[in-house]
Amino acid sequence: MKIVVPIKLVPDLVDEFEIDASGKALDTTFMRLILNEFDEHAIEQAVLIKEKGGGSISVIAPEYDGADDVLFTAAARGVDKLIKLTGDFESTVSTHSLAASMSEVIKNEDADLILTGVQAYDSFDGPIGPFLAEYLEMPYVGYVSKVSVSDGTCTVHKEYPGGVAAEMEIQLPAVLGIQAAEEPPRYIAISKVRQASKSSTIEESAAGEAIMGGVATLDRMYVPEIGEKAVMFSGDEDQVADQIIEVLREIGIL
Amino acid sequence: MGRAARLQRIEEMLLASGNGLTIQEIATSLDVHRTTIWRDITDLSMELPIQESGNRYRIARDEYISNIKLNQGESLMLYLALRRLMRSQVHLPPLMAQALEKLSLALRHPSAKQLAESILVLQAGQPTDRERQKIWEVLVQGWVERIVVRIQYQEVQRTVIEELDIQPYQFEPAVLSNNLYLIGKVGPSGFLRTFNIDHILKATLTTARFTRPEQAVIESMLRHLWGIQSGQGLTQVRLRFQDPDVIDRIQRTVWLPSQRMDENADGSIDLVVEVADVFELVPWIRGWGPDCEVLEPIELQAQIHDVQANHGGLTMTTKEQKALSFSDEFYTSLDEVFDGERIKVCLQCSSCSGICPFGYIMEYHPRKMIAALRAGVFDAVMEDETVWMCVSCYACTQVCPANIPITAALMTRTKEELLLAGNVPSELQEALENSQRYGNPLGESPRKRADWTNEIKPEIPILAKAKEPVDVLWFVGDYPSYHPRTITSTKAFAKILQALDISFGILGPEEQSDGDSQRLAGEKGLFEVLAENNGKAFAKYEFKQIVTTDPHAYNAFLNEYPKLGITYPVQHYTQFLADRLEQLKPMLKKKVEATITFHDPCYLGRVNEVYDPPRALLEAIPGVELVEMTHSRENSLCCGGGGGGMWLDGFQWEKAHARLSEWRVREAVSASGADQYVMHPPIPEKKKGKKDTEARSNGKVGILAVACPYEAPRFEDAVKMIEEASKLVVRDIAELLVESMGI
Repeated sequence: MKIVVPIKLVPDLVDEFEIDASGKALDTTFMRLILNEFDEHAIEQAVLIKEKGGGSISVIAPEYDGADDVLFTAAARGVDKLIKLTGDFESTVSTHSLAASMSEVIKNEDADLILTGVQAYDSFDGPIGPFLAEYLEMPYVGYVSKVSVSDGTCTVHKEYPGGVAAEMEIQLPAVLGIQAAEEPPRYIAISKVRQASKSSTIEESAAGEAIMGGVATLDRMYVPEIGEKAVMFSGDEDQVADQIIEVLREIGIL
Repeated sequence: MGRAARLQRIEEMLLASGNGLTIQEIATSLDVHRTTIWRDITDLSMELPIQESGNRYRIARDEYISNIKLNQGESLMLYLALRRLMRSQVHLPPLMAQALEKLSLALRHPSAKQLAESILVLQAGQPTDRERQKIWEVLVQGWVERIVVRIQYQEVQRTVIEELDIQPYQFEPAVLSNNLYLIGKVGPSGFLRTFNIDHILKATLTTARFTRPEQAVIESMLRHLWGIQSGQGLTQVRLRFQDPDVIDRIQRTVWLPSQRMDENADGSIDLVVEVADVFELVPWIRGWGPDCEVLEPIELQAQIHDVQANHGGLTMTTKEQKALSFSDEFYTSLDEVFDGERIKVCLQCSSCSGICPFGYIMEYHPRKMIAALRAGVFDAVMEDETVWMCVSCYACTQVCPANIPITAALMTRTKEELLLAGNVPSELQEALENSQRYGNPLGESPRKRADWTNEIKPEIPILAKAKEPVDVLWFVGDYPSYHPRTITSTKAFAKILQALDISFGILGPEEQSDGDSQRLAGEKGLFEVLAENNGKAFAKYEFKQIVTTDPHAYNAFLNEYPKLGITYPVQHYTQFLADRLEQLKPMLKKKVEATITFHDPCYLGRVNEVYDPPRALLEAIPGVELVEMTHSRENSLCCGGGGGGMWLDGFQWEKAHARLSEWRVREAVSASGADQYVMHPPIPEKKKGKKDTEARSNGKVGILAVACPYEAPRFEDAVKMIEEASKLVVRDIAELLVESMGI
C-alpha cells in the first residue's frame, strides 16, 4: 500500500491579517504559515492505515516558508518520504495550478491511495482533491472521516449534512478528501522532530508552469465592513458590559 | 572542627543548597562567628566558583570541579577498578584514560603513613582478620617502595606451602572473576609468576630492594594470562561460535588481550586465545552452553563435553537472555537523573502517596509505581493515565525519608515516556503545541507579548529598542504577559520598579516561555528549545541579573538553565523587593486593613526554600495582620497548576471532581477568618437567603496573597465556586504593595 499525502500551508490566524497596498492580497510581511488542519488529519489517517496494514507514505508540500519543519514533523509521525515542490508560491497560487504540479509528482510515486485535506481556508478556486482526481483520472470522495483498506479497494465513511452518514467502497487507486482522521493527530515530541530532521532527507521536485485558466480575477480584498443595522461595542470588558446592559434596557429585557 | 574540615563542610553546604546560604545561616549551622565564615568564604572563592546574589552564596554547579582528595589505598582501589573496566573496552574512552592517568600520578609519590591508612580501606571487608591486614600492608609497601617481600603461598588444591622471595611488580584484577592478583618476579632465578592474593598466607618485608622493569614488559606478560593464574607454558585454545547473535556478542568485547578472531567461510567464527592455564576458562566456556564448541585442545573438548552431557539441558545460553524489558530499561534510566539511583532504597513506606494531593485517585500512585518498577511490570503504569494527575508539587519529594527525587526522576520521566509515545491528554497537547509554535502555551501571538505595556507611562523599556545596558532584565513570563487577570499583577510590579527607580528592561517579543512546566509535563526537548531561544536573547543584552514574578521561571533559571550552559543570577521579585525593603518601606503609606494569609508557591517555597521574603513584604504593609494557613511553608498545598496541571484542568476534574485550588481557598477562608460564620455553624440549606447572610456576616475582609502568576486566576475561580469564600479576596503581593503605595 503506497499512500501519497499532498499538503499545503495556510496563513496562521494567530495574528490579525492586514491587506497590502495593492488591496488585492494579504500583507505577508509578518504573516506566519501553518499546516492546513485538514491536511494534518490526512497525514494522521495515512499513518493509521500504515500502522494497521503496513505500506509507505509520501508527503508532498509546496515550498513555503516553514515547509521543511512541517515535512520533518510528518517524518516524526511515521511518514517515509518527504517531497518538496519547488517554485514560486509567494503570490497566491490557484488550486488548479497547484493540483496540476502536484499530480505530476504523484504520477511518479505509483500511489494506491491519495489522501488530502478536504479543504483549506485559503482555497481560492475550490479544494484541491477533486482537481487532483481529475488530473490523475481517479475517483474522488470528500468529507471522509474513516478509511479502511483491503486488497485493492477501500471502504470510507463519509458524512452528509443533516446527520446522515454513508459507507462506500471505492476501487483503488483513488483520491480522498479527509475531513477528520479516525483518531485526532497525536502529539509529536519536539525531540522526535529534531531527530527526524537529522535522519530524513527532503527530495525536491520543480513545479511546472502555472496554469492560469479557470481562475477568476480578484478585484478587492477587505476586512468585512459593518452593516447598516449593526451596532459595534468597543472598550474594555466593563465598558462593553455597560453598553450591553444599556441595549438590553432599551429593548425592554431588563 | 579544624579549619580544613570546616572549609570542606562549607563547600558541601554550599553545594547542597539550591538557593544559596547567607553568612549567618552558615555561621549558625557550624556554630562559629560570622567573621570566620566570611573569611572562609573569601578563601574558598579563590578556588571555587562561588556566586553571591542578594547576600546568598552558592556554588555554580556547572563550573564546579570536584576536589576529591584520595589517599594511596583509595587511589589503588580506583586504579584497579578502572583497569578492570578498560580491559573490556574495544575503544578506550578518553575519560577513562584521563582518570587512570590522574590516579597513577597520585600513586607515584608514596608516603608510608598514607599507605598504612589505606590498608584499612583495603581490608574493610574483613576487619577482624589482622593477619590478612598485615599481608596487604606489606604487599603494598613492598610494591610502592620496591622492597622484596617474603611470602608463604599455597596454590589451589595443593597441600604444599611454598616460601618465596618475590619482587611485587603489579596488582591486577582477574578478567572473569573478582579475584585480585599480584604479579611478581620470584627469587634469584627471576621467572615471573602470578599470585592470588587470597592464597598468600604470610608476608614479611626483607631488607633487599629491587628495580621494577619497564611497564611494557609487564603488560606483554599479562597478555597471555586468562584470568591470571600461574602456570607453565602457553596453550592455544580454539573455540567456535555459530549463532549470529552470539557472534555479534563475542565480537563486541575484548575477552582477553591475546585473542584473535578467525572468520570461517560458513559465517561462524573461531575465537583463538593463548593462555597460561585453561583452568579458569572452563566456567566461561560453560556459560555459553551449546553455542560454544571447543575445537582444541582435545583435553578441554573432552572435559566440556562431559559437563554438557550431564547438565546440558540446564546450561544457560545467550539465546534465552532476552533484551532488557521496557520496565527494566526505564528503571535503569532513572540513574541518569540527579540522585535517581536512590529509588533503589525506597522503603515502600507510602508517605509519598499519602501526601500526594491526588494520590487517592491515582491507580498507580508514586509508591505503587516504584513497586511496579521493582516487579518489572512498569508497562502497566504506562497504560494507566493517572500519572497526569501529578502536578509536580514536590510534596512527595519533600516527605520522602529516603530522599528519593520522586518528582524529578520518577514522575517526570514517566510523563516523558508517555509523551514520546504520543499519549498525551488533548488539553496538554494543545498547550505543548502552542509552546512549540508560538513560544507560549496560551497560543497567543508572539508579536503581542509586550502588548500589556501599551498604555503604561513612562514606557516600559524593551531591550531591543532601548539598546542600553540595564541592571535588571525582567523576565515577564507567559501568563503575566497575556492572561488578563495576571496582567494586573504585571502592571503593579512595573509600577513598583519605576517607583524604586530601578534600571530595567524586558525582552518583549523576543521572550519565550521559560519552559519549566512543559519540562515537568514531560516535554524535555521542548524545554531545551525554549531555553536555547531565551539563552540567545539573554546573550544579546547587557544586564546584571534577571528578576521574574514567576516561580517556575525562577526555578528554571536557577536550577535548569545552568545545565544547558545558560547561567545568570536570578531573583524572584519577592526576593528582589525584600532586599530593597528599606527603600520601599517609607513608600508604603496607605493602610491595608485586612487579615492576610500567604500561599507559598511550590516552586518558590518547597523546591527553592524561599519562604521569608514574601512574608517580609506583606508584614511591611501597614495595617496588615499576617496569619498562616494550616498548610504553610514546606507543607504548602499546591494550587494545582504545576507540572502541566495548568493545562489539565478538564482532565483532572473528570478524574477527581475536585480542584486543589478550592481546597486551598477553604484553608484561606478558615485562616483569615473571612466570614467564618458560614463554617461554624453551617447554615441549613433552607435558611440561606441573601439577607440572612448579610446579617450574620462578620464583614471581615480576608486576603489570600499570592506570588505566582498561575495562582490569582486559579484561586479567583475557586472563590467563585465556594460560597463561604465570598468575602475572600485574592491579591498578588505586588498588587498589595501598589495599593499601599497609592500609585
